[in-house]
Amino acid sequence: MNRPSRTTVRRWTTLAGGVLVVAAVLVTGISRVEPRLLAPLRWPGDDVLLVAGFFTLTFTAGTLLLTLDGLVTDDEPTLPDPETTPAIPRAGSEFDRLVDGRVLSRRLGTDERERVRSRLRHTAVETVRRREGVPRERAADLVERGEWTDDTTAAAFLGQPARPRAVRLCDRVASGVAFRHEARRTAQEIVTYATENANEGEG
Amino acid sequence: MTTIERTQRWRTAFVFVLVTSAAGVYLERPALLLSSAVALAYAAYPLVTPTPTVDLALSRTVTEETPAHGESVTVTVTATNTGTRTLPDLRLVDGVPTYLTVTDGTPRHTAALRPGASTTFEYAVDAKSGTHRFEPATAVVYDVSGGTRIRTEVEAGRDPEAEMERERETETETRGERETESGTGATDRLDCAVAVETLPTRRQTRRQTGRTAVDASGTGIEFYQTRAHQPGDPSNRIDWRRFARTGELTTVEFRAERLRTVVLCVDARASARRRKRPGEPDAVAYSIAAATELLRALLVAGERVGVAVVGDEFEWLAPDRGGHHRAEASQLLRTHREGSSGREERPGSTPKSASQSQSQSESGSQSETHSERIQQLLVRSQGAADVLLLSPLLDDFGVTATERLEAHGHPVTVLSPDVTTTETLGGELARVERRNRVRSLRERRVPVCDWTPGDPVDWQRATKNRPGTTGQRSEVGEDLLGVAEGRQEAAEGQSSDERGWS
Amino acid sequence: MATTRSQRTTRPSYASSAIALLAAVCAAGLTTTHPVQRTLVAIEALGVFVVLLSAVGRQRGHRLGGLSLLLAGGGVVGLALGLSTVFPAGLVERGALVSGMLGPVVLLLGLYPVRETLTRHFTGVGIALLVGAIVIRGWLQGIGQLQLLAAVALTLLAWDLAEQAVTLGRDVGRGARTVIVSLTHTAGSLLVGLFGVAVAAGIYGVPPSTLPLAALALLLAGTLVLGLALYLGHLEQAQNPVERL
Repeated sequence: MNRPSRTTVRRWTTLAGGVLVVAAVLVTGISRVEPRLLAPLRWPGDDVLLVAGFFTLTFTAGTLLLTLDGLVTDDEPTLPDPETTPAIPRAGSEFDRLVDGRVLSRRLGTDERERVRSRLRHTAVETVRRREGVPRERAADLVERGEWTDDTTAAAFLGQPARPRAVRLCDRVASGVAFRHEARRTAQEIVTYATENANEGEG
Repeated sequence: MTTIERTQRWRTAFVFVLVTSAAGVYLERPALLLSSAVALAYAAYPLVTPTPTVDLALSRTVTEETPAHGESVTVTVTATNTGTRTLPDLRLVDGVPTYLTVTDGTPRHTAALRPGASTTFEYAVDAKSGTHRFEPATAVVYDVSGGTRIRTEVEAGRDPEAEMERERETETETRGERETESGTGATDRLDCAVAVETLPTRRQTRRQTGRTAVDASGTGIEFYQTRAHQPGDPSNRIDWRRFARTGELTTVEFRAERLRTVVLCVDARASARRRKRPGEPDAVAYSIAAATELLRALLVAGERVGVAVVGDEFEWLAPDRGGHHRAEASQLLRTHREGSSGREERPGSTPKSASQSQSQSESGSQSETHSERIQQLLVRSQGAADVLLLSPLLDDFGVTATERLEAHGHPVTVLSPDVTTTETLGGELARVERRNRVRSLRERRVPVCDWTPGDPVDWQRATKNRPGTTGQRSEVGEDLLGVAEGRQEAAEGQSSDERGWS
Repeated sequence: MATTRSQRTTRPSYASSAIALLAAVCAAGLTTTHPVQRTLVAIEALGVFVVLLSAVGRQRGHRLGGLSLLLAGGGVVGLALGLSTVFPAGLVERGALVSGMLGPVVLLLGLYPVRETLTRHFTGVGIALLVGAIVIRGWLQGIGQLQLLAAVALTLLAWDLAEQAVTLGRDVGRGARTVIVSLTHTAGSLLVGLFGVAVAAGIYGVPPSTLPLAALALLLAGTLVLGLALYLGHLEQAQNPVERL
């Protein structure tokens, strides 16, 4: 066995430590009882600095040892989290995220805008068709002419009518904000249209 | 799986040793040097404490094993130390089912257990439609010093006292097919069954011309009913679920023509995985819950039922009959729900919702692939099969798939769980769009059940005038108009048919 | 937002925190020499526990009551600290007093917690302040051997319980009752502390203020060697986690 195992090293070290402590106790005892016996143990200098120097070395070595292994390297794995359900998005959350009103939102490309617009147009046409009970072409025509709603922003977003001036102005400054605003208004109008006419249909 | 680790907590004691002994030497105060002995004692502490062995028995009971949707269920858990050593620091986290949220109390508990001692805790969850399985509880045990940690998973087993109770009961129990294991102390799931009140029936598709209107079953509203059990009724017609719930024996009775071969097609794509509000199951979970119940009902009715799950992967099980097939189909549905959603998502991972445009284009091209696959597989299976599509209709997949399937001669019936909400603008828009899709499907004479989870599944309700639901009444009117507007075939026959509905 | 945020708190548990703070104030008290100083520590202890109580109250839903308790407790602690800085004594002694009194306060900040991510840091600083106070007192030689030993033991105990409070909070949260487990753990650690104090006191009785150099050197060497042996023991234990299953 070339290298002694850790256990043996540890055991010998413990023994050595114990011996040293016992020796210290003995020396103190003797010094109190019979100081002259310790005469041969004095050496020149008799300086605590020697001890201190010895100690500094050990102290440095000790801290190095400790920091090498890391003081607390406990990984602390977390226990499962049973109170929550998996993170699943809400219905319609993508639309909300696209058209939310935050200033620093992601910029939408032309394709994306077109998709949003055509989606809303399709929904509007279908809703008009459903509510008014008219053929699809007629419904598409209504949407195109903007006659399905009183709101100018929504009408302009999906059809021919001109956009309100405020929106046009905003578009020049920050087109992303304007687009989002228009999309939100249009969606709101579609929803209002769908739910309002439900009440009308009864009467 | 059990893991044992050292926490190395007491290494800090060495810092104390160094500091006090250094101070003692430099400041020439042996008292300080001596005080490092205390720190040495603490450093030796974790080396001498025994490591506990973890032998835990867990029993779990619920106040109601078959709750209704929205009902609050209290879960009581008892842990017993069946080992020979004391567990000085036991921490338990119970495995609450994935889709349920804890509404009261906490599923976490600590205790110090001597051998043979037990500890109990309880918490409440709100039941939602579907079968929810409890997961194993996680137990972490530290030794007295806190220097060693053992982590393990414990399944709920049977309570020894309850076992004896049950043995006494089985003597008086009637023999019969038990569908739920109701062993006390071994509750491993909550069965919040979806109530299916009516089943859809066979329809002729438009390709078989001229008969759409006259064929009374074209509306898809014909129901089975239950009546009190009479001696002599075949035992495979007994509604065991109702018996388990209420204790009454009832027999299922049928009228007229049923669907013969049905494929339950579940829309489990990522874009269908949406929910109404946080803390609730998503549309796919609800679809699978409904599909499980429909599977059972149709098999009891004697149909051949197949399962197709359209999601990240396409799963297929050919239509067949019988108990073994039913177990296979249930298993397929169950693993699909738990497998693709499940535990990986739980620790707060970010939802992989693509941007709206991406999901739309994805559904556009992928729905083609999906319905192609469905159609191919249907062709492979014998004969024409009816398709029961379960989809939340949050995008165009449902409509496109229906068109394709019907065009190839497979009549489609749709069950759509409603997960839209009025709480956000996007949710309201989704609601409007979904309504439009439901309408357009109904215009094509596809029976659609607009199902709110928690309510029973009822195709007949789709056309019944319900007071208080403003949308429905005008929709019926729209149905008539929409039908009258485009349909050339047998208009008179249709209106007389519609009179027959209400 | 679509995700459900976890409703439970991962903050340090109350029972272990309370015991840790109790040990910390006792340690601080043991480093005092003057009855007035002890009174100050006692006042501070009261304030600390009132603040901890306010955390309990706020979590259980009594927002207003909790807030008022917080203000009251904070005020008391501030008062005690302020008075300690003007205590009529030399700079060093005052430093020992202030350091000793700051220790439990910083520990409280960590366990309240003021900020969850900084809990470990605050705890470490608090304990370090207590150790500092002990060292200065040891140097000033104003307190007895036994007091010194007990102070060291209690400081270590406070550290241990603070650690347990943090892990308990992380594992089970503040919603679960942790009193029994905390008390069991405290019993163990307390016994070890008593044992250590007994051994140290027994080894030497009352040491003379100056030791012969040889004895000092031997004692020091012995301490370090034993420490090394124990450290090796820790390393060995870490390598073989499975003794038997």
